[in-house]
Amino acid sequence: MIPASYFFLLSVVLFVLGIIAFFLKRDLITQLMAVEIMLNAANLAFLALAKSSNFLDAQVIVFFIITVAAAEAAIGLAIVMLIFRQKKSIKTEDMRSMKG
Amino acid sequence: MNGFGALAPLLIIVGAALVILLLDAFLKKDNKNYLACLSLFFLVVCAVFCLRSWNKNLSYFEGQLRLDNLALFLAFLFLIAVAFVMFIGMKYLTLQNVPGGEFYGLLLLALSGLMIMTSSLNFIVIFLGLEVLSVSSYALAGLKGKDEKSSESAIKYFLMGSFASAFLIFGLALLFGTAHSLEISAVLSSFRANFEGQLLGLVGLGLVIIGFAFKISLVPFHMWTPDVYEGAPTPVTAFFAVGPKAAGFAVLFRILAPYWNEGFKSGRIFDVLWTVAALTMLIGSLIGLRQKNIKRLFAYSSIANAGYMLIAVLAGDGASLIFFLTVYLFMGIGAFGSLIALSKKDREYTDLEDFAGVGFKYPWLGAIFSVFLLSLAGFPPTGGFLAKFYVFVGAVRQDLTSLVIIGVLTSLISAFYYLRIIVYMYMREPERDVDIEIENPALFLVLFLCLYGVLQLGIFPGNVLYVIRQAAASLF
Amino acid sequence: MMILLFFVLSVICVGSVLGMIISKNQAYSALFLVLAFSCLGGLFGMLGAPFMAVVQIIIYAGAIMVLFIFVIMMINLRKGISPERKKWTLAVSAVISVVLLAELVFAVLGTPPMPYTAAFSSGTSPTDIGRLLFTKYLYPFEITSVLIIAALVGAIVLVKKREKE
Repeated sequence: MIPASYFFLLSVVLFVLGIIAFFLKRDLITQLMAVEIMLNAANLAFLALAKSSNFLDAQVIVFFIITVAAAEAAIGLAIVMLIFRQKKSIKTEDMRSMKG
Repeated sequence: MNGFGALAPLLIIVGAALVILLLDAFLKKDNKNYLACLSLFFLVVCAVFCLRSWNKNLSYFEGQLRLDNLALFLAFLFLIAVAFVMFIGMKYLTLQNVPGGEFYGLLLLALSGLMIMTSSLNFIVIFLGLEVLSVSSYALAGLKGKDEKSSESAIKYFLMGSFASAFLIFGLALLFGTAHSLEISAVLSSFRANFEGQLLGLVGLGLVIIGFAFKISLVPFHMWTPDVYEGAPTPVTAFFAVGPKAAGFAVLFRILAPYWNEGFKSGRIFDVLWTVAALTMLIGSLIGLRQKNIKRLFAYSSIANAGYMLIAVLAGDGASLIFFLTVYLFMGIGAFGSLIALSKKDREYTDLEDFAGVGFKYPWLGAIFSVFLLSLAGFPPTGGFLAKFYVFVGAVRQDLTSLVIIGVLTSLISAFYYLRIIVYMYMREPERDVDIEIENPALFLVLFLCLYGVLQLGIFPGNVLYVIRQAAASLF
Repeated sequence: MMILLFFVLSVICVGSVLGMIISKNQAYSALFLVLAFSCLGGLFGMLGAPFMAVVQIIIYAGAIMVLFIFVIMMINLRKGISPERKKWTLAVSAVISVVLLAELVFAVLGTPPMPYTAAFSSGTSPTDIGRLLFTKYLYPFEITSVLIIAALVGAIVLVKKREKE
């Protein structure tokens, strides 16, 4: 049997990779994907850290998080489409019409 | 009252949102003002239901829905805020080409998110409420579809917001791992009982606080604020400045105040938040000095104000926190409302230069705006003065004197940029041709109500303070 | 045997996330992510949550990522966007992630060893999850419906073209 802490360590690694990806990537869609990785890492952490007495609760919470991720993806991709229609670009450098 | 009755305020708001969206879709009227009046009706009905639960400390679904006085008072604040935002937006929508039905509908959905967040003792419900709020806010920020700034502000708000939610969720996972439950009280008792497991829990709590810090724009997580405030449609900006901020602080207070009482006041989280409060006030007031765009300036002002609110959280002083939030509602919406008054078809005047001479050209508007600015700067006899005064006094009692000194100094610095706007309005010759559409009764009604609120809270705060003390006391 | 499977899945998962970071083309990134999420589904199954494993694969790897790929196809960028940025952002992100990783690893080491192993067999059938969803978690479940309405309305209003212009 595998210790749960292995799963937890994996989730930590994924979470940190998600943060790195968020900062490194320069287009909106991949940044959005990076956020999805972080949410998935949290899902894994929830399941890994649950005890057998509240494993079911953890699963229900993961269910909610997947719903939230879907809602965020929908609205995020809609905003990306809006941006692309106006600027013909989804690079972060092109998001510069405001400064001060 | 059974569980269904307790759900009534929320059901009314969500139902109102659906009714408004459907009416807008099927009636296809060009004039959307009737939707604002209909929403106002629903808001009043909701307020009546909230009033009936006052002082009852109702709790349903194992504390997932808790209607204590704090939640109810905040619900009143949010109802007032949303009603004001709808009315200052009425004319703006047609002038700046913002789709009306969706504006009102999303605003009501955001309101339901605010109410879910603040009336719960369970982290998962708080998180879901926050998401309802955030998702509708992202769409609200981008509502001015043709304007590039608006969609840019939407994408920035969205990326930062969802990034912050990911932190929040991961923090919740860690808290779940230590406490095996996501009720606030269970998490706290796990901190008390289990000192070995604390590191995991501490990191978890830290991540949760980072998640909220993004939403309430504390330094160093404030980067998005100026851009989002500048780009979003101005009524929406007014809502962002008031609603999510109040809800975020209320939740933070719900989490942290019992935590301080458990004797963690010298702990690491406290020290970190102390530094964050100091930095937030400093950056909010120093960088604000450089701003030439009034909306950006107000963004920095809202950052600085977040610092003062954080002092109240650190002092565990619920009454002055809520009083500050109440005053901030009136002066924030008043200030943004005055900005909206300075606009015409497809054009908004938001540069500092545009304000030159406005005080003479539009004396009423200039005078009202000046009162809000003086209140933001913290001059007596306005509410802004008393709000800061109560926060500082409460903090000194809790031995936070050095933080209070920083607070007083930074409010002196920020007084400079508020006063500069007044100087521009009254002591400069107009350089640009500012020509505004002055006929906007709904907006001026709200401005007068805000003016009344700011002065009432500044001169006779007694009754409101009495209610606020009841609200704050319900927490313990 | 199980441990071997765990390592294979986690290596593929981390590897494909790295691939997503390195790849210049968003479509490849999205496909890498589908792979990573499918592996995560397998890991959920190993943790004893077969229902969540299926949900993960159907909703995440299936629905959400397909949405991403649709948008990428609609946007149809010819040339990719290279990942390296200005030096200082690289440095900042490196520092932040190293600090966070160290902190979290310390947090793991600091907690008492978790005595239980993965794979909980007791009562994880979809029936139990459903029952819990409609009793203890009824209120949050209803809130998700409000969330989905908000997302739906928001997405439609942002993307639709206005008629009178």
